[in-house]
Amino acid sequence: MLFLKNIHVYRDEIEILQNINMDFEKGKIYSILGSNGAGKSTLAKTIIGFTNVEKGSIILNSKDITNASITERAKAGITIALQEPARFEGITVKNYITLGGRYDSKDIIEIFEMIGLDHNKYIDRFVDESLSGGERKRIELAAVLMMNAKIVIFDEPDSGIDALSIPNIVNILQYIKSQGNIAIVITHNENIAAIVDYAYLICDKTVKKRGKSLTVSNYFKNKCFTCDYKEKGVN
Amino acid sequence: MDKTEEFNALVKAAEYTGATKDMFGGAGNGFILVNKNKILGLNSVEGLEVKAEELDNGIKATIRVLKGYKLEQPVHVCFGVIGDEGEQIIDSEYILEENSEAKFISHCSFPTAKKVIHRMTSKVHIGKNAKMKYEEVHFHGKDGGVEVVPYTEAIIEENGYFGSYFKLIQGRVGKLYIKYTFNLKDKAVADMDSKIYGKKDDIIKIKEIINLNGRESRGTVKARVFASDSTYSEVYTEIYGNAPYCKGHVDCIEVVKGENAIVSAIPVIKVTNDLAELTHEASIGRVNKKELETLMARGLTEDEATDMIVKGMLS
Repeated sequence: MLFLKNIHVYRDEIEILQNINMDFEKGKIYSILGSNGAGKSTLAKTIIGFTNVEKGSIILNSKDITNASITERAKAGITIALQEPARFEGITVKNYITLGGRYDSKDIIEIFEMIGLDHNKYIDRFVDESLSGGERKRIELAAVLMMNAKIVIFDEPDSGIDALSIPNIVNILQYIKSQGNIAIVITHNENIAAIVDYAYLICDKTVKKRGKSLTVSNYFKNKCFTCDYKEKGVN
Repeated sequence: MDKTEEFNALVKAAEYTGATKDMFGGAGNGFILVNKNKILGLNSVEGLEVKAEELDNGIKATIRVLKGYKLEQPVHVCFGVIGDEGEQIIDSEYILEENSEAKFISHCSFPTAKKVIHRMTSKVHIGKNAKMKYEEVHFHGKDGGVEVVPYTEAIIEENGYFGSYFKLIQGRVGKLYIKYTFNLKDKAVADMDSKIYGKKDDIIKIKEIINLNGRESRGTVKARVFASDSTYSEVYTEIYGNAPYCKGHVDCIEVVKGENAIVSAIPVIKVTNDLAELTHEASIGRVNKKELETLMARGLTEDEATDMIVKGMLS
C-alpha cells in the first residue's frame, strides 16, 4: 500500500537518510526503532511531507506522492501525531479534533475513552498552553483517530511525563489495525513491540535490520545500546 | 438625520461589535451612546453614576461606580461617527470606588468613515480592592478612513484589578495609535490585551506600559497583530519592576502575510528593584511553521490553515 523506494533526505547539505526502502501493508502495525539522532523522526516527517525527499520515491496505492503537498497526502489518508504537538490559541479541542473527518458525538465519546480523558471536561477547552504536555499529546491522538486515516504515524506517543499509558496506546494501535488501517509507531517500548507486526531498525542513516517485531526489538536492545556506548567511548 | 435616526444607525453599526438595541434602553443596564458630539442616550443604575456633557467636537464624561457596589450587568459604552467625516474627542474618566466591581463594554463604530478622527483620552482610577474590566471592540468600514487614538492612564490602588481588552478585527484599521499606561500599587493586578487585524495600508502603532510600583503587584501585556497586505505595525511594550516581589510578563505575537507588510516588536523590561521578576516573549514573522504543518496534516490547505490560525489568535 505504501512504499518508500531508495529514499535519500538531506538537511543543510548533510545526508540524514540514505537509501531507505520500506513497505507498509494495510491492517498492520509497524514500528521504527533506532538510537537518538538515527533519523526516525525525519523519516516520519518525510512520509507526511514536512521534509522533502532529495532522491527516491514514495508510492501510495500505486500513485507517486513524492512531490505531493502535506495537504494532498493528508487527503490521501496519511497523517501524523507529533512527539511534541503544536499549540493553537483560540482553537477549541472540538474544532481541532473534527478538522479532518468525523463530527459524530458518539465517535468523540468513544475516542476520548480511548485516550483516557473525559470529553465533557476537554471538548470546549483551547488547544493552547493551558493544556499540560500529556493532555496535549492525548488530544493529538484523538485528532488523528477522528480522521480515520489510512496511515497514522505516531512519533513516540509514550514519551514525556503524563503521557498516555502503554495499555491505552496498545489499544489505540490495535483499533487502527482492526479498521484495516496502518499504524507506524516510533517507540522502543517492549509492550508495544509485542503487538507490532513488523519492525524497521534505522542506524547510520539507513535501514540496518527489518523483520518480526520482537526479533528486531531484541537486536536493538542487545546490540544498539552497546554500540551507542562504544561510540561515546564508554566501556 | 434626527436623533432617533442617529440612535438607530449607531446601534445598527454597533451590532457588529456584539451590541443589541436593548443594551441601550431596555435591559436595565447602565449605558452611554454618543454620535460625534451628540449624546443620544445615557443611563445610570443603582451604584453607577454616568455624567456627560457635549463639547464642540466631542463629549466629556465621568463614570463612577460607587463604593461597595458590584454591578451585575455590564455597562455599555457606545461611541461612533455615522457619516463619512468628522472628529470625535472623548474625554472620559472612570472611577471605581473601594470594593466596587464593574465590567464595561465599549462599542466603537465607524462604518462609513472616509475622514474621521476618534480621539479618546481616559483617566482610570481603580480604588482599593476594586475590579474593573474594560473591553473595547471596534467596527470600522472598508475604506480605512478612520484614525483612532486611544490614550489611557490608569492608577490601580492596593489589591485592585484592571483588565483592558482592545479588539479591532472587523473592517479596515485605518490608522491606530494606542498608548496605555497603567500604574500599580501594592498587590494590584493588571492585564492588557490587544488583538488587531491590519489590511491594505493600515498603520498600527501600540505603546503599552505597566509600572509595577507596588509590592507584589502583577501585570501582563499581551498583543496579537495580524499584518496582511501592506500593513505597518509597531508594538512597543514596556514593563517596569519597581517594587519587591512584583511580577510582569510581556507576550507579543505579530504574524505577517503580505509582501509589503512591515512589523516590529520592541519589548522593554526594566527592573529597578532586585526582588522584582519580569519576563517577555515575542515572535514576529510568518505563521508558525509547526502549527501550519500540523493543520495541513489534518487535510487543510495552506491558506485554510493560515486563516484558522489567525482567526484563533485574534478570537
